[in-house]
Amino acid sequence: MHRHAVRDRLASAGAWALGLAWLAPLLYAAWTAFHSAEYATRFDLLAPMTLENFARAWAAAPFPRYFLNTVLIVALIVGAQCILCTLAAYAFARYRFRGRDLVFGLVLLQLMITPDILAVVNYRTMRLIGAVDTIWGIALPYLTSAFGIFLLRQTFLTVPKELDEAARIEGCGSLGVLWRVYVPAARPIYLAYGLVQVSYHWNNFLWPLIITNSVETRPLTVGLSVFSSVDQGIDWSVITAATLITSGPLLIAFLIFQRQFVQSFMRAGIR
Amino acid sequence: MDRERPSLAGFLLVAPALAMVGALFLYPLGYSLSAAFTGPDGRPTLAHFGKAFELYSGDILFTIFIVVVSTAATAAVAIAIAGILVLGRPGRAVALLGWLYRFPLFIPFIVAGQCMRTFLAKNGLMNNSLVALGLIDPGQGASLLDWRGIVITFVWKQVPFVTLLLAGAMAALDRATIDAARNLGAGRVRTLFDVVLPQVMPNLTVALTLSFVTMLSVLSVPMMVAGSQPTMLTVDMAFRINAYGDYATANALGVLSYAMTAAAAFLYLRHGLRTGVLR
Repeated sequence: MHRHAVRDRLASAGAWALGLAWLAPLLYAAWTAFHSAEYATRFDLLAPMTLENFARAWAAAPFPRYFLNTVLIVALIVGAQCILCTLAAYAFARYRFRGRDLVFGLVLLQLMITPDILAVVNYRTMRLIGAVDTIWGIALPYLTSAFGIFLLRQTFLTVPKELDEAARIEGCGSLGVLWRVYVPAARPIYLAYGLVQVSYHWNNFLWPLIITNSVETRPLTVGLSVFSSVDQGIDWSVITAATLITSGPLLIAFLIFQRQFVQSFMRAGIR
Repeated sequence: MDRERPSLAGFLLVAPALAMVGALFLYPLGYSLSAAFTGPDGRPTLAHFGKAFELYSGDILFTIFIVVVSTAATAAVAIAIAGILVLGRPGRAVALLGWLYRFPLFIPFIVAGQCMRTFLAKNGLMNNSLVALGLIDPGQGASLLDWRGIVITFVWKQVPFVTLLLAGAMAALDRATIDAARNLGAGRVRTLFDVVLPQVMPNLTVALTLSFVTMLSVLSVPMMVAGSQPTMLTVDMAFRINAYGDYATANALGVLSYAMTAAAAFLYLRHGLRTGVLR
């Protein structure tokens, strides 16, 4: 009995330590952002807090514009992905057509190669169609997602065929069946997938860095990189304040929706 | 049922996504593959690979080392956290861990790199805290801004994703098998490794494969956390293009990255076909 109690306490202490260690870099960023530069690497509980770093960071870059650009990019990508991936996943799950397995294999291939590695050639394509330094240019390579098609196909395969047939007997066409039977059945998957994609594209850095060169199109992450350039000097307090401004909305959204997000993710059953 | 007969409608539904995949994935993939094997005179050549190996053979091995070590460490930590969450005695500590571990999921790689660059530096908060706690002398603090920093950042960032999938799969298991093992006297660790983990291996495999591919394509972390040599292939590719406009060698390095992801893809597909997940 005594040994069990000791083991439980050790496990509990381990869980606390692991949890706090996991949060330490973020806590440190918050500490630095809310304190003056002299306390950036010194921990003193009585150190005075300040919002000056946030004011300086906000004044140093056009953050409202960066926020607007980021929201537009994310909305465009996630909206387009939901439509294109749904149609493709429905076809892969419920239709038989020539070359289906080959096409699905090509989609799976895309799952293994991230668009970032193809940035050089995609840049040339964007230059050809005049999409460099536009919101469209940032979004285009991501408008369809192999992960989304795969995830939705796996989900659509689990929908009982009887439901499909019943809807057709009731007079639904193919798109009607998709809209009334398959999409509602996959709602938790859409939520989990949507949140992952919002997070990914809110945070995307390399492609927007390559394809943008003006304030009018630059998203938050590219704007943030300006703070770490050598020309700006290294002021950790302002850098971390800018970092928190960038990630803040996403973290707040996560705190609000975390229960739904985690449950949806767990129900997705990705294998 | 449409599935039972050939259908043009199926192809039309796939067409928009296929057009995007063709234009912005297959075309650039084919182009970069062919450019990597074509000389300035238009003839087939392996010269770009020769140059890539001559200049960056150390970085190629370094990249494989970083990604493999990070994937293994991510697996170890994710199994530990998922095991505690599913098999641990419910309490405040477990609840806190379940809440805290997910935060890095929503932090961009560039922000994670930024945080770690200041946290792991020689005069960063980690060393200052260890000095303040009396665990090391002020002169003993060492910078972790090298391969260790990259691995720590990758693991910190990827563990939430892998753990979410793993803990979800573990939570969905039939509790009867777990309770039976516990009733027969198996400890939590043994139950985790002998009963739970074998049943969720498919989920762990796909989560680690996706993490492997993601880490292989990240530029910001190796660039920010460990700027000096050796470094990862993404940094070398960016350098060849930005400093020399040398697209041929950059493409050859890209093809080597594809080869690494192809190896991961092969393992995943083999596993998928064997278990019937990919039908």
